[in-house]
Amino acid sequence: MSTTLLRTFQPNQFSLLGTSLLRRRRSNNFSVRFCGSQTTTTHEAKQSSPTRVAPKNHKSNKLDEILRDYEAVIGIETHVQLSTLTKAFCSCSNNYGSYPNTSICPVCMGLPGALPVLNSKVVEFGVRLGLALNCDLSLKSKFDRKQYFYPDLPKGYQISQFDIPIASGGYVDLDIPLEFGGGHRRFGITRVHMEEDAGKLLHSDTGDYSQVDLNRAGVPLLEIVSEPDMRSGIEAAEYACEMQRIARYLGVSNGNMQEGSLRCDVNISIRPIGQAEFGTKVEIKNLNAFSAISRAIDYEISRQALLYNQGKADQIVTETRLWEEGAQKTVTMRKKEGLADYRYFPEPDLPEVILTKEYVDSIRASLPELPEAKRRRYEAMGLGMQDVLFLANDVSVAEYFDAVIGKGAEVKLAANWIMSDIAAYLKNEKLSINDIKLTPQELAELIAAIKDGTISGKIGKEILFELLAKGGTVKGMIKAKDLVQITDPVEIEKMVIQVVSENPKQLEQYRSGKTKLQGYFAGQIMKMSKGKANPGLLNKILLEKLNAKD
Amino acid sequence: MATRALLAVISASPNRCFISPSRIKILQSSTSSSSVHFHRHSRKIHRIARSYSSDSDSSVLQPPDVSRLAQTARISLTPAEIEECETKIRRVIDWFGQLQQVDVNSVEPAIRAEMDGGNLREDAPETFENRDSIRASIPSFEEAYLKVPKILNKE
Amino acid sequence: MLSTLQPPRSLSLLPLRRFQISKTIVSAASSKTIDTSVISPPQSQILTTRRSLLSGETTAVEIAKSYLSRIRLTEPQLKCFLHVSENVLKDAQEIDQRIAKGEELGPLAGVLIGVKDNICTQGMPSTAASRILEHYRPPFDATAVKKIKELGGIVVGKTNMDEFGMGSTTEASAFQVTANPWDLSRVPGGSSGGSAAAVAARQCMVSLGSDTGGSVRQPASFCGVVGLKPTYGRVSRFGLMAYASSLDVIGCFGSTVADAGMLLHAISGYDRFDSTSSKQDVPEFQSQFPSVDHFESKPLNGVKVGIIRETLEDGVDSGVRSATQEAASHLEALGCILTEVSLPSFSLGLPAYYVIASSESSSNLSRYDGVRYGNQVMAEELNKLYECSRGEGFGGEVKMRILMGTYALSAGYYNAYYKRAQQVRTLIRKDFKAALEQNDILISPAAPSAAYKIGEKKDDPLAMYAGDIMTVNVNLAGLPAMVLPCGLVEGGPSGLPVGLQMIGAAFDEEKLLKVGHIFEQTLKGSSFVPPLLANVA
Repeated sequence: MSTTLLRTFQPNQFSLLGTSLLRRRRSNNFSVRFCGSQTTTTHEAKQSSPTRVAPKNHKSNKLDEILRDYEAVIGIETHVQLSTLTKAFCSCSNNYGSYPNTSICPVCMGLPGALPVLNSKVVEFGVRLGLALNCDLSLKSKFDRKQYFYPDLPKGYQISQFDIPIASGGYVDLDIPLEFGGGHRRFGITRVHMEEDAGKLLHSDTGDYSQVDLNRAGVPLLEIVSEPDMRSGIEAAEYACEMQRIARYLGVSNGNMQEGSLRCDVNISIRPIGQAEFGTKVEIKNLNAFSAISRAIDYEISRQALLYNQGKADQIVTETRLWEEGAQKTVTMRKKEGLADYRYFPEPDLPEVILTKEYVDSIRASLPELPEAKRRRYEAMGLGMQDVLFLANDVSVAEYFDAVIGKGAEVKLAANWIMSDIAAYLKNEKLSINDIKLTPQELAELIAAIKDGTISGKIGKEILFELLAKGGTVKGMIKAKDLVQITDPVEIEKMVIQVVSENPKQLEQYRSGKTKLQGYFAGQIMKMSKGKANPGLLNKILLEKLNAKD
Repeated sequence: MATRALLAVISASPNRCFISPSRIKILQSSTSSSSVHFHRHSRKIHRIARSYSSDSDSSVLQPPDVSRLAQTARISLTPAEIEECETKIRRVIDWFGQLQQVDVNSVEPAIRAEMDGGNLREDAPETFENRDSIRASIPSFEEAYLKVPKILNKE
Repeated sequence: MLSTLQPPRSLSLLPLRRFQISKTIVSAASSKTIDTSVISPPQSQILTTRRSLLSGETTAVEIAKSYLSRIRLTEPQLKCFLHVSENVLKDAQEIDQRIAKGEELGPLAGVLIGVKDNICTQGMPSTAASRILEHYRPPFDATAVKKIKELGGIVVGKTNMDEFGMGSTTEASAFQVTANPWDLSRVPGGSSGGSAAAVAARQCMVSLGSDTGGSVRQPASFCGVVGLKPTYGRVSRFGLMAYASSLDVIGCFGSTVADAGMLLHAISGYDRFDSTSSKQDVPEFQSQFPSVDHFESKPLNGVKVGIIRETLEDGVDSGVRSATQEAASHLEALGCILTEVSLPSFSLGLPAYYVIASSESSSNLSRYDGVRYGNQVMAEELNKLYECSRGEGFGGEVKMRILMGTYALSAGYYNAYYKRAQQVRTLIRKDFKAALEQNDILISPAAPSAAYKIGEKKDDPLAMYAGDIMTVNVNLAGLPAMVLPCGLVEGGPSGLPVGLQMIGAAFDEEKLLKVGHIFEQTLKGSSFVPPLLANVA
């Protein structure tokens, strides 16, 4: 998902600053330090990265020079909305898109006397994600109250975890797509904690009031806090992508950014290269797409670097900025006056969350193969990085691919079918790979049928689309449509002789030098064989006949 | 010991006082002791009070700023209320100061009475039947939404 | 299960015989020998009701009418109720219909129960005596109320209290001041003053209160009734409007130990809507209430009772002290082994309690913002809406505690106040644990004094807080405790009751009830009926 999204960036979608920055980042890739976490990889850089290079722009040269002197320090807070059936602390359904204020009860409405009761699934998901992010788990964690007044927060406090999160001290490994310079990265995970979501506020454009929908109030979230290990917009976007991927692999969230199921707040500061202490930290919110993360950060890096360069570093203040998608820039939302005091204290209404070793072990045992492990396995199978990233990107695609090769299909061929024709079909039909009727078993059959010459590649493609849409078996379809490739030279020769004799004029032209006409003959013969003639054999015999001196 | 707490209460009053007539009256009503009896203990009170005020831990804590607290707690107070609250709260907070003396090194805080953890809930949806009544109690409810004054920027 | 109990000897529904006191301090138990022939032990109203309903001697409607008429007569003076249910007679009729049909009766069938106004009753006003919840009717019953109803109990109405439980006199109600039935110029105690006074005045048979720092036990002492504060987690808090969540428990009032115990049994047990409720078994307390005829000569032989030294030192009313000492002697006469125990952390409980309670309350009361329920003050701007709704909705004491709690939880103060108080709580818990390893129960006065005058401590928070010294530690430790009348001291037209507090080990309410019942049934002339009732009975 991420990769494809990033791949669809058009250079002109970037602001001037963004473009030049992106270019700079790529060219400087190996000079940037990655907190000692960059691991050496054996990726071949054989694929040439598609387009992306923006035309050299003189105006951006100066900025490029400025940017070269600074290093960005980026950390991300990711909120993952969990796909539980019920809310975190009450039994109301956790449904996106319900009619406003219908999925409510005394607990999530904060009625007097109502008490929270923790959903066991939230703990399970917290442990799953914690393990997937290589964290240490707290066998005894607790909930705390984070207090502030807001109309979308019914109780006047959010139940969250403050000083003892369920998981902490982990990391995530990912691969930067080749078109962005490639390379393997490891980013630290500070912590993962459980908390509840707030409701939704709608601001009417006309009226002098706001509206509150509390359906979302109390929906469970896992907040993932990264170490400040990222150095560019691309890294940050790839990190966010990997969070989405992991959440989807684990089945803990649908990770949908548009619905707000995955939300990223970015903390960013820059400092002159070589300086040890961090610069002033700015928070960016309202990042609703991975591309927005990347562009907002690159914009912000440029903005801050320019201020530094112009001696206006004091104008970089601790604040929250909003990404404005339309204007492609960040704007001040509010300045922070000192640290907000949320008056955290332990939530007395909830017992501590106790994890037993057996429980953790059972969850560990049930974890699926995670994206990083998948990528390394695919790489070891000999697939190129582009294929690896494509296949491992979507868990359903990866599972499909694994099933196909599990049925014995050749790895590279299976990858090609999935990445080209099937991917195109999915895109056109707006389907997911889970929707298609072609089973992995049959794709493996199809690949085998082509490989062993039972059918031609061309016929293979034709029946692929029928199998995708209608299902059925490859063998059945070959039989029903009589599609078995003609590989008998005698039979092909008969057709060649017939076609050649029926086209004396073309034969004459061919023999007088218009050798391109071979294609014409081949087409006619293929047509006669209803596409079943083995193309190699056909051409071999055709050439013999055309060039024969009779 | 009960006495110590009572005395500590007294020591926290702003004028360290027990000379205030109202206070004496209170003590007389809650104890049947004579004022002589009471005075016998007043020296002890002094000692406790001194030891509190010399305690550095409590002295670095800023006294409460009632107006700011009221703002944080979203409670409007009249100037008269602020004044009244300020006196009372300062006295109580001073009195809380005695906790600074307790040696709690290596004592684990207790969130509540001892209890088993857990009591988690199955992830099974249930509809609260009386939702109409919840919505009917909302003071400003319009077109399926709660209505609040316009909010520009969050937090 | 109730039918296995001995029927009470008196058939009177309302044991209203007055208890004469002498001019001086009355000691209820001066005799060292137990002579059951000369005493008239109080009767369980729950059992009496059940027996008379089952025998057809009377009907639930008749009983309900007699209580409603007493409410009509006494309420103008007492003001115990903020709301009296319109459905009492209808509910009683249903009980009578069940009896007529020969259907099985729940153990609380026809029992008239007052419910403190901070405990949610579906469709019935539940305001916690706060202006901010005026007219609020919850969409659900508290678990305790639900259980009561399921067992046939009839909710008479909602009792007055200090706003959100914050107070010790019931004067901090936004709506009315409740008078003590023993002396109308005195407070009934608090915060469950309405529930205590209503039982004392026999406006209901039993009642529910809540106890955060003594709010059941102190008014029980002031009003001469039994007040039972269960172990934290014994009774679900679901539907109890939170004051200090780590301390709050729903408790029971009755005119006898048996009544309080049976009501507790009805509401106890794990509740899936309160994850701090305990899965500990709830024993059948009823076996602890044998008839006095069945007592042995030393019915409490070998029971180890520790008297808490710190609760009898200076600062405690001498009448209270001697009543407690007399009570201890009475226990000794019943066979108990009495020793003095010391709880070194005792005096720290009071400030620790007030830090914790105000901190938690500042958070628990954030939900009262005028947006989703309760009284809203319309405003152009959001913060104005909050500030005015809360400023106008909360009373002075509530505002003060919220502000103190906000202060104590602020960054930079948390460690000095809230965390430190939690550490002190650990010390207190340890001291109690040690004392209860040596003893079956601990005893102390319920309060440093008997009921005082209305208005006497209203403007002096520290003087008011000091009155909670006997009870707050028990909440900090989460232990069960019961207060039962043990004597009268001088004051009012005919003396003022004084309560004895018995503290037990966690989840050992059974022992408290056993000791309490025998104590009560053997206490000489132990019918604690306020003078008010002499005029209306």
